[in-house]
Amino acid sequence: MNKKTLLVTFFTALVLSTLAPAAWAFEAEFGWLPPNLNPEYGGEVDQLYYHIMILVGIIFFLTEGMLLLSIVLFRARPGRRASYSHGNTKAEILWSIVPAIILVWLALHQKSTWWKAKMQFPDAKTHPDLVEVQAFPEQFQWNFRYPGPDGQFATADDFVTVNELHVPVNRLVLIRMTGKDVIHSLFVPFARVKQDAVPGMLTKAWFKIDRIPCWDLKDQKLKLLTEEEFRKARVALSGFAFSGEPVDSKGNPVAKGQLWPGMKKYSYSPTKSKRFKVIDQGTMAEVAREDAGDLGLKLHVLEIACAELCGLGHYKMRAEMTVETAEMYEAWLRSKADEKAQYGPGKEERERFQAIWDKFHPDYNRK
Amino acid sequence: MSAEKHSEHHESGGEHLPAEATGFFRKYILTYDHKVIGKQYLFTAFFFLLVGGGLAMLIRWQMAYPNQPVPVIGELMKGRFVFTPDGSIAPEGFIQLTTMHGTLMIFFVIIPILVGAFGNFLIPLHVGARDVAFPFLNALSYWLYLPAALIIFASFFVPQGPAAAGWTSYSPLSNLSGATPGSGWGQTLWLMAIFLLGFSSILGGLNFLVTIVKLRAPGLTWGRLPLVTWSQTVTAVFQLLATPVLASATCLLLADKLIGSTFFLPAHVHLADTDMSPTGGGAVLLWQHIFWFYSHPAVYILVLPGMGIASDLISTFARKPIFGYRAMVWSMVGIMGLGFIVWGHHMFVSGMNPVMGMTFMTATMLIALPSGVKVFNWLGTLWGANIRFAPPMLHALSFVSMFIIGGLSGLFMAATPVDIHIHDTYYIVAHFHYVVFGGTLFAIFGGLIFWFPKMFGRMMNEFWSKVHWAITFVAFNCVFFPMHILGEGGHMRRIATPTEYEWLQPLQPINVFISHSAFVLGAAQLIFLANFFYSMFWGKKAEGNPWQSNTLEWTQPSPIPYYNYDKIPVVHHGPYEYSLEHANGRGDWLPQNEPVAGNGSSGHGSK
Ligand code: HEM
Ligand SMILES: [Cu+2]
Ligand SMILES: [Cu+2]
Repeated sequence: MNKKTLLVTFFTALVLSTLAPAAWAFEAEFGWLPPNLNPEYGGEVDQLYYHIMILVGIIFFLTEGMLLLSIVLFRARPGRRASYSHGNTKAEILWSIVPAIILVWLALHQKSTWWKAKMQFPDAKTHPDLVEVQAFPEQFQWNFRYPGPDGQFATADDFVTVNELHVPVNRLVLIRMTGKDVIHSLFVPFARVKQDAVPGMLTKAWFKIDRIPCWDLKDQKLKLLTEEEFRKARVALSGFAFSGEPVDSKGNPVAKGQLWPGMKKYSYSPTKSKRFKVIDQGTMAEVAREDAGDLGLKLHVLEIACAELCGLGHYKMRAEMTVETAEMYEAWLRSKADEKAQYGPGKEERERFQAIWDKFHPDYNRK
Repeated sequence: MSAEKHSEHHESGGEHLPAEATGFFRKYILTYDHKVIGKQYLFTAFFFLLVGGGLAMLIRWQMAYPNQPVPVIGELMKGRFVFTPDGSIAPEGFIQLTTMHGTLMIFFVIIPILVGAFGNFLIPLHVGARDVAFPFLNALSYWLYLPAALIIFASFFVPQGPAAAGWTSYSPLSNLSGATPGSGWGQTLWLMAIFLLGFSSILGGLNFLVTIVKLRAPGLTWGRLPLVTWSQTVTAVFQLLATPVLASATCLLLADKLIGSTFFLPAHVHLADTDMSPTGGGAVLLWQHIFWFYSHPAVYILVLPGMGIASDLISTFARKPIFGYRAMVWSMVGIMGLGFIVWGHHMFVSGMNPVMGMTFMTATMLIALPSGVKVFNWLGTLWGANIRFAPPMLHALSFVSMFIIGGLSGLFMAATPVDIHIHDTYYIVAHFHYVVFGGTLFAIFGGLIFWFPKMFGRMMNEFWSKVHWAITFVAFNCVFFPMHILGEGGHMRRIATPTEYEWLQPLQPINVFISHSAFVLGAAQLIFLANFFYSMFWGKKAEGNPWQSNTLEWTQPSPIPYYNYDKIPVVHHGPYEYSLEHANGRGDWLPQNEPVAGNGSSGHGSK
């Protein structure tokens, strides 16, 4: 190897070797994808993402490497002359066929995940414990309707929540939606869910959440606990306990209906102030610790956003999803039934469901 | 007029040509000269580049410092346009900024420069003609573009401001005047402007196609056409087939807005408690299908001419024939064919039948193939070359390396399950800026510096061209690469205050970094414009062929004379005969119109 080739190789290696760690460091600093809490197909989505990342990474370094190498090796120098060539059919056939095979493989590789996510919806027959919710978003809020104790929509015991979705942990959830005014899009980044809600159409999204997000007040970090971990850590949750009957923080039973007046009471929201404060970066990356510790955990929420431009207030069309144990979920349903009797929040929206959805789209209620 | 007849006509005497127009108005305003019309497009588009760029700066300010007063501009514009009385950007006005930024850049900057400016200027030169086939239509298409541009500009000043439904203008948001302020007058003007622009495009495409088919100089076979012109051919076909679809879509939406039809409204769309479409009968997704049936091809209209420019620049400055000329042409044709059947990849989660999602996914994977072939062939061209790093080449090389990144990110989005997560996030924004800014805009810069001598008879300053390139290249990557990370982190596009979402807060430092880089990127473009206009008047005088390039325009003096060619040239071989050992006494190049002395061969690429 002469000095020049050495220099060139060194230079190229330098550029390539700084690019990769730089990208890596950037990623590691801010986290790759947000944590995935949807075991049904979210993991597969992520896996596919990483497979493509590897594939694309290889192609990236090969092509950009070739480019850099050519730039260095074949720069004009006095007395040099380019080679006179119009191409090489063999090479061209090779670099058409190989990518073609890779692309067809990639196309086939993703089929099953797509089918699962967008076509194989669970139904109440095969999954009796399926949680069914209707979403009827409007400018600029998320209206969710629960069927109430009878399990049927468009009946008197339905109740409607605004920007508030509750789901029990480890149960399948199916959301049916349609648009009221413009297109909105249900986006749950932590569950790899995105589905437009379109006026005049019924669309569906389904998922399961297998962790309960808790805010660790000591570390100022999001912790994602499995149901088991959560149950062990229950004494640490301030404001409530859940041993079958609802009790307050001191363990005294509380009357139904007072326990869950709304999320705000127990949701920690560092986001309310106008000026942002950057919270710990671990928020994105941190997942459950084996032992959540005994103190200072608060039940946290997962955020839901609207991903489709829907007007002026698009940016603030934010809803919160509470993931909880079956008992907590039941208690919440009961409290909602009471609230409804008192014409609590969601009354207007409930009427809107009846006046628009049930009147004009009764077929969207059919299962 | 066939190519032969055309040249006969010439040989019977150049004196039959009408005299050159004199007087400022005839020469620069109401002209039929394709070169001047090209410049008209260029300067109009420059103006909108500045406006669109300014909007981008405001967008980036808001993303980094939500709801904080904008320095200087906020002070000046307090309470006007999208500004609040304290000079910050109202979150409510933010989507007007993004909508108008996208609209201006795509419809009024990139397409007019690529097709209007480069197409007009280069096609007649490259085919060895004196003008386009229909000079009047050519002028007409500019005079449709200009009112369209004025209409869209006027929409900034109407009550409630410009359109706010995204450059994609999805119904019902764009359809119902009450859905969002800009959906009133702003959206109506938007549609009228796009409709007019569509006509301009159709006339332009028709004209170019006829010119290329009919006016090629003797000896200029399809296999000898420069790739720039090939790319314009394919683009013209795209425009002819796709633009009428957009024009009809805008007509239908206008009808919905103005005379109460409901093509894109199903029954019982409600705003608050009012039923806006008691009868309905339309479909929301119909707009998306029609819009993307045009706009996916349109994104290729946005890049194909850029590919052509890059191919010419690379071959010239690599001093090497283009690698696999035929494959380069066929891959463009392939892109065009496939480009018409992939539109559904914008609609994977729109509610479109997921089975169709699979079909569109497969077609989209396939379209990556011809794009890949082009990249490999550019790399093949560079291998074994003798590369001169003149400013146009720096831009062309940047085009290739940035296009690779943009194409590769396309694969993630083409994968339907992955697209569930990244659709409508900054990942998309990263993707298309890599192809459109990283790809096309670099090609435009390169092309402008390259053909500047032919346009204005002077050279652009090399040093400042290089400074502009270097800052742009670095800042561009600092702006758009991190957007991939925002996107996979789930950062929605078109939201005014990312900091309201908790899971986006950790990403906020990236937003700040991007914005600072964007301000640098924006400022760097002023260097280019200053260099451009300074050089136009005071640049170094250019010789006929400063880059030692082969295509026909370089056989003429700089700037190109009024009738391009006094004598229609006769073409003897392909445009990329660099580094051929020949007896003509030229170093490593061989003009297309020069037979190789001695051996009687007309050189390679003669098919
Ligand atoms: C390798 C080739 C390419 C592939 C596989 C590809 C794939 C895609 C896909 C799947 C989307 C939709 C993503 C989504 O909204 O979720 C998209 C969006 C887009 N692509 Fe590409 N693309 C490619 C090349 C290009 C090129 C060459 C251009 C333009 C010059 C381009 C411009 C755009 C634009 C402007 C959008 C976004 C439109 C919007 O939603 O505002 N793409 N691309
Ligand atoms: Cu929305
Ligand atoms: Cu597309």
